[in-house]
Amino acid sequence: MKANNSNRIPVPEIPVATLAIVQLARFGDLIQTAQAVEELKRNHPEYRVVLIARSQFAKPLDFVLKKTFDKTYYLDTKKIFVNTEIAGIKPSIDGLNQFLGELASESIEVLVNLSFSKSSSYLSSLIKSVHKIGPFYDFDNKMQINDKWSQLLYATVMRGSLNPFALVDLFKNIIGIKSTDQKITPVNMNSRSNTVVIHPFASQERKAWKAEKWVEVIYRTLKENETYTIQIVGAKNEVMKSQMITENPLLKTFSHRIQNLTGKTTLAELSDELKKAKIFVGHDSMVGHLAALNRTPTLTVSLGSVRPQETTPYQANAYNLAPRTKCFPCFPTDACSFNQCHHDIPYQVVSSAIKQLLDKGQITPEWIKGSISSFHISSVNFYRTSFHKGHMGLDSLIENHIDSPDIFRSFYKIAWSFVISDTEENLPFPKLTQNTHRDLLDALTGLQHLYELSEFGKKYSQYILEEISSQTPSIFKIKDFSKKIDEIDQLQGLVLKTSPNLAPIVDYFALRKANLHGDSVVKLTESSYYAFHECSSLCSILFELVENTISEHKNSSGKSTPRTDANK
Amino acid sequence: MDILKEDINRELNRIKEKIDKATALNEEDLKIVLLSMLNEEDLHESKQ
Repeated sequence: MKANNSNRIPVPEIPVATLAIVQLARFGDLIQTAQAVEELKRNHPEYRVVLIARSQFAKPLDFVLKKTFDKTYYLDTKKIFVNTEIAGIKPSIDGLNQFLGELASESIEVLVNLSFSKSSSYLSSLIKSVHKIGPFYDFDNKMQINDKWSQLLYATVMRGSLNPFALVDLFKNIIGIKSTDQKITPVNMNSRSNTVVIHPFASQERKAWKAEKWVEVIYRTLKENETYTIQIVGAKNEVMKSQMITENPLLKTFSHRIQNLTGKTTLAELSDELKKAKIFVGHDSMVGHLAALNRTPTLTVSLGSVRPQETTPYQANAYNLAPRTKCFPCFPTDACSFNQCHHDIPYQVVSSAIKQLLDKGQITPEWIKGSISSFHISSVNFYRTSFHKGHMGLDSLIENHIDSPDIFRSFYKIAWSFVISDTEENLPFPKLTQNTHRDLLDALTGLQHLYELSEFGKKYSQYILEEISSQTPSIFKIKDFSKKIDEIDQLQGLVLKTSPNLAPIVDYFALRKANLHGDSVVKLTESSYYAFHECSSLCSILFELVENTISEHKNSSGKSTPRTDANK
Repeated sequence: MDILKEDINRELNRIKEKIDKATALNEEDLKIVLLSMLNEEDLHESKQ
């Protein structure tokens, strides 16, 4: 007997949720966006994820993007601005309308803007979607950022050196991806060719060494590693710079072991070369991210405005050398004629590290201590990446050298994760020096002030709510209380003069308060109350972390006690 | 000056007036602002 199910009621189709990611920035940002979305697709293969990107950056990276995104919409400005010199703006508006029309066919559930530029924010405001994450403009021409992780990214990335999160992890948090540790199968390096790929250029001069220093690195690498060849890679506009390296007389004897591929490869071909190489060495640029995608070990030399904790290639055991120069990392707009940070990383450290990576496959604190002259390492921070709960972090490889930004980044990592995502991070107590101890004591005072100001903010927000709900609300009283809240905001900014390490808190909450939710005074005041409450919580968490670290420092310098986690 | 730039400048002046008068913008205004920014970014990009 057989059951006849020809009259079975059809199962209703569950509509596929479409997520659209806006990333109008360059190659490196596109690769990092793909790395973040890759995990979302792994956890939720049922989601349709589309990318909206500029065609000049996305098309050469199609070979990467098509693995992650279901579809890429190319914003082709060459097409949009064709013949405009004669025809004016009309055809551009038509071109933009056509592009927006194509997007309208997607029925987007969530639009996530990850590029944080003004143009991407205006574009996001024009794309129809049920929910919007990241910045967009409203019809009052005011930028709106409603989600907390985007607010944190906007307030802290490129604002200083105290953002503790890798850009890929911030993207994951913004999208809402719950990261977990992945089991990674080791790469068989023996099957790879004896090649070192070097990209000695960067998008800005302040982020790259002059040719002479790379000549020294290449000379020593080829001299000390006789079976290896070096491939120099770069874009078409870097050909002349590459010739300044390859034509240097010092490298003449090794010219047969140097292959200059600058300007000769597509990104797909470059990716293939990286896949075959034993190691990639270069400055902060898209090539490092491409190397990480191919699981090629990377050694990055960070200079100028580069923030290693944000843009180190996203993979475990990626190495990063950063100068200890006081002004590092700077801002792209800072004037700098001497580039002290370029001098603070000796080429000897780079070539020794390359040799060690080629010989042993890893760099340890012990090797640095025993093999690199303290004269050379004294002006350098040496970091290695590791993953914890699916998020990348940088660990210092130089024993007994953790500076104040390192310590504050650890504290911020614990505090932001807890306050924004309610997740717990466990990090060990940092070892303090006289200087870092002093900075922590300064921060304690600053945190106390910020906490007290936030409590006042809560109080005045509450007074406004009470006044509104009274039988005869006084507009004068409400105005007075609002004025007090404005004063509190200004006073919070003043705290930074004595405690600059607290800048992320002030910047974040300034942005948070500029994006209060609600369309009535009551709702806005409630939202203000919650913002002040969150600021109080963050300050008390940080206060406790700083206080515990100082006590631990006192204990360990007075008597030996076992170390525990900083946040216990 | 090319016609696109002339058009964009004229439209941006009109939008600025709206903002000064605290009048809400509309989608067409946002499109003009977006196009002016994309155009500027392209010019910057071509100089690199």
